[in-house]
Formats: sequence, structure tokens, C-alpha cells
Amino acid sequence: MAVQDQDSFRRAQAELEPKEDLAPYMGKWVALRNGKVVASDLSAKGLRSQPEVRPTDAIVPVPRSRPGYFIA
Amino acid sequence: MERSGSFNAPYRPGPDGQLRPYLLLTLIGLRPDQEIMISGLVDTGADRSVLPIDYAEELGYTVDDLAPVEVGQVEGSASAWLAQKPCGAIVDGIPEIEFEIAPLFVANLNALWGRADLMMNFTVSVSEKDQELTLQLS
Repeated sequence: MAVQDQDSFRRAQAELEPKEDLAPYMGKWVALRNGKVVASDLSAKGLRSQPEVRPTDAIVPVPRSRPGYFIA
Repeated sequence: MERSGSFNAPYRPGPDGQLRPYLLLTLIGLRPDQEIMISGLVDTGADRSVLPIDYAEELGYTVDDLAPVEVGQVEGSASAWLAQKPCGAIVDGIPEIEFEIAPLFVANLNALWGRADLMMNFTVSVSEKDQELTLQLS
């Protein structure tokens, strides 16, 4: 079985990487297009219903905190 | 041909800017046209993969497909909903390997990739020193 090479793996893994600071959106869902936030909402469903959100946009949650122990 | 190979990717920043071992998966919902890319934190402490509840509808789950359960977490116990049917999953960049995930849906916005699904299909290791995540086909 052929497997993808390392470079294509890294490129694919970077696909949803935001190109702006998401801290202002913590606790919300955001729609990303080319890494930029085009809309936000408290729910994924509400976000998808916004007129500026396209079906191809990535719908991404922005957690307020992480489970487990961490240094705030 | 026998599956083999090792893939590594650098830690990526979370919403707080901290670098952690995030991994991008595409989940295939109960209908084949329901595909969603989800970035989750690789968590060896998670018994199974955990997703925000909003993803349940996005993946085609209805109330009848979910069983209420109580789960333990650092902050104490919490309500969650366990999928009774698995969805498909691939690691982005490794499309040859499709596996199943029956997610645990929770009320917060954290996505975690756990041991019962992702780690049954890949040997996962992290190097904090190199800030790098490695997946090995197992």
C-alpha cells in the first residue's frame, strides 16, 4: 500500500491552521475561510445559518479552556 | 503490500497560542456526504475520542443514536452522550487508512483524540523536546 509522503502529511495537517488570533472567539464557533474568520456564533448550527458563511468554510470550535491541568 | 510508515508533524498553536500536539482528522458522518475536518488534541489520557456536542448533528446523529452517560474528568463528573453507531475517520494526509470512531459528545468545545479509536490504528508518540507529534502505522 502506498502511503503519502511526509511533506504532503504536513501540508494536510496545516490546512485548518488559522491565520489570525482566535483568542477573542474563545467559547464560540468560528467559520474559517483561507484561515481567516468570516463569522462566529455560539453554536455550529447558528453559524451555518449566517448568510456570510459558505458550505465550504471550515466550522471550528474555539474552546475556552482545555481539559486536564494546564498553566493559564 | 504491508502497511508501514511514520509521519511526524510539528505541534500547532491552540486558540491561546500555546503549541500542543493537535491532529487534523476528517470524520465521515452517518451519511457519506457528511464530511467534516476536525482539529483535536491528541490525548493519551482520554479513553476514547471526545467531541463538542454540536458536531453530533453535523455528523448526522439524532437523539436515537446517542446514549446518555456520565463521564469523569478533572473538574468532576459530567453528562455526555455516547454514539451508538461509529462514523468513519481518516487522518488528513494519510487517506489510505480509514478507521471508525464512536465519539463521546460533550457540552464543551474541546475535541480530543483518544485511545480506543485513533490509537488502535496508529502508534502515537509525542516529543515535547522537539515539539513534534509522530504517528506510526500499526
